[in-house]
Amino acid sequence: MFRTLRNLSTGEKYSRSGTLFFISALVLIIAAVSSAFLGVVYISPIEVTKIFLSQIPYLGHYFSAGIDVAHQSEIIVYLREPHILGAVIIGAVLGVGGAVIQSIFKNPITEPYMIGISSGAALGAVLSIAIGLTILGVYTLQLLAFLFSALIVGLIYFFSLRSGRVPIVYMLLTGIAVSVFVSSLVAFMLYNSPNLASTSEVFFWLMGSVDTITWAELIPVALLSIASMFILSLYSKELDTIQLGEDYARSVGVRVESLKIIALTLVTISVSAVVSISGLIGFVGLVVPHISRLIHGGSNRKVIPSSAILGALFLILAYDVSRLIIPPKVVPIGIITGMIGVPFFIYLLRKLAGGYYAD
Amino acid sequence: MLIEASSIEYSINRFKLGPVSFSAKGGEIVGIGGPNGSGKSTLLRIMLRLLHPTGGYITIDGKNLEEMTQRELSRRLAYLPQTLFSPLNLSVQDVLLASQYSLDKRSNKLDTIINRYGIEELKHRDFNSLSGGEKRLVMLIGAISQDSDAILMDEPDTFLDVDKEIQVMEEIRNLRDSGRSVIVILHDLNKLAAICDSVLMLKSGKVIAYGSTDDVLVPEVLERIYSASFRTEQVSGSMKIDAFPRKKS
Repeated sequence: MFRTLRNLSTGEKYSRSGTLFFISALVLIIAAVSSAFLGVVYISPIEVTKIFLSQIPYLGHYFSAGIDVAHQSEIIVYLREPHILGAVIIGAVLGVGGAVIQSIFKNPITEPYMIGISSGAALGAVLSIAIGLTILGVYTLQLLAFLFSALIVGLIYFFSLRSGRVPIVYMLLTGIAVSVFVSSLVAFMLYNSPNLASTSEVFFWLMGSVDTITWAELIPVALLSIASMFILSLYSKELDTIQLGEDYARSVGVRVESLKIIALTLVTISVSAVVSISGLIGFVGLVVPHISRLIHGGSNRKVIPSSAILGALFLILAYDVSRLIIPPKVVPIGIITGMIGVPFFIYLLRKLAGGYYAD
Repeated sequence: MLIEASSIEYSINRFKLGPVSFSAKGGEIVGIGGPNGSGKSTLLRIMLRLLHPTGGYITIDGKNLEEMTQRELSRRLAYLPQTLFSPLNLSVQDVLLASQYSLDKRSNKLDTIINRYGIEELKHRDFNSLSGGEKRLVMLIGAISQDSDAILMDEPDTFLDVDKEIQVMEEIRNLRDSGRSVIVILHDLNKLAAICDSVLMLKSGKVIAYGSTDDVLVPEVLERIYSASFRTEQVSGSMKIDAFPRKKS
């Protein structure tokens, strides 16, 4: 398939976009459904399908009659479903966030974590785990990770302001500097932490995983994420224009500073939300938009929806691998995304891109 | 349509521009010339509201530039930058769509434009893969198709071979003939003489001369700007300017 894609001109890629969207969406659905067949407890695909169908409102009871064991239903409904849907939402958000951040920064090697989201979320998580804060109830860790992530992005934006505008290179450099500072703070807190257990818990959180996600966490995060991604997709025209340069974007009528605020806010909200329930899953935000561009060309009209689909698919596949690699253990998914993602990305760049990024 | 710049001033660090006053009306080509660092691009950036003047103001049909919305301004003034780079690989079609951001129904119009300029075979190409001349042509088509009252051009002739250069100069004349106004930065004095109705010459941020092309592009004025000697002559109806090393006295 890659060989065929490489030989297509951009024009042919355009004319085939519709088919490719359909195929990738279909593959995602198949991957998501079949992912529910995998797990430590074996449940046959027929049983899984029955359990799925039994959840359909009004019609479900026609299918529930044949389900053998009640606890199988619980495994599917309360464990596998939120984990898989979590992977779908997280992958989609990281993919879309990457596409948007790369457009705003006019830079193909940026990703959402670079604007302070990852270091901020880590700070929130460490405050909760190492110091044992529980002020916000059961979800203190998630809420603190979300709030600190948004806070650090806000600080970086504020530090980068120059007479009402945020020069994007300043923001990138400030982001790197502040992230290093916050990471030092995190390391200091861990170093001083009274119990070693908390250190390993933080370490585990930092690697990212989807197999602790519950419905109660997933639903608000999914709503925030879907709304943010939908609004971001409405700005694809503006995001195409801004990647040709801010001056040029202004000259054709784009309100550049408003666009940056809106896009950065939506990316921060959605990425912070997914990071708060999964920890730091790396590499998706960087690699997925590039795969989308290789398939569909550079316009965000196609790159944004495609990054959502491919991000979700990438994370589903990584989750499958994370469960299969050393059963019955589930390896943190962040380790898998790096281990599989990096060689795959290098392969793609070398084999498929040709002179695409040669400049 | 009338663009009027009144006593525009701008200063940053040790560079000071102005005061600069000039006007451009529909169906007129105004050239801006002068050595490197004379403030030509700064003036263009002020007109695009990318820089804010420290003194003076610019009006279009009596309305102050600072009071316009970004979209309104883009409908009045289109911009042809010196270069454009697409770091994330937009196609030619995407770049043209971006140039028409503030127009309604831009997709419908796009095919008409692409057909009119005969660039169908470039439509789906990666913009960065085009040659310098093709890029410039696409950018020019983008600027023209914004349907603005005026177009500001920053050295539209750089990196072009003779054929493309003639094509671009022809397009600029066509814009004038269709009643639009063109404000163009050009280094080449002969091109200024060939296409402009009036010329503004700058040196170190100061206006050295402003007026009709025939009055400004004369040896006495040019020798105050450049450290060279000049001679002008009429060759088949158009003015030709030659520059020589200045003799040491």
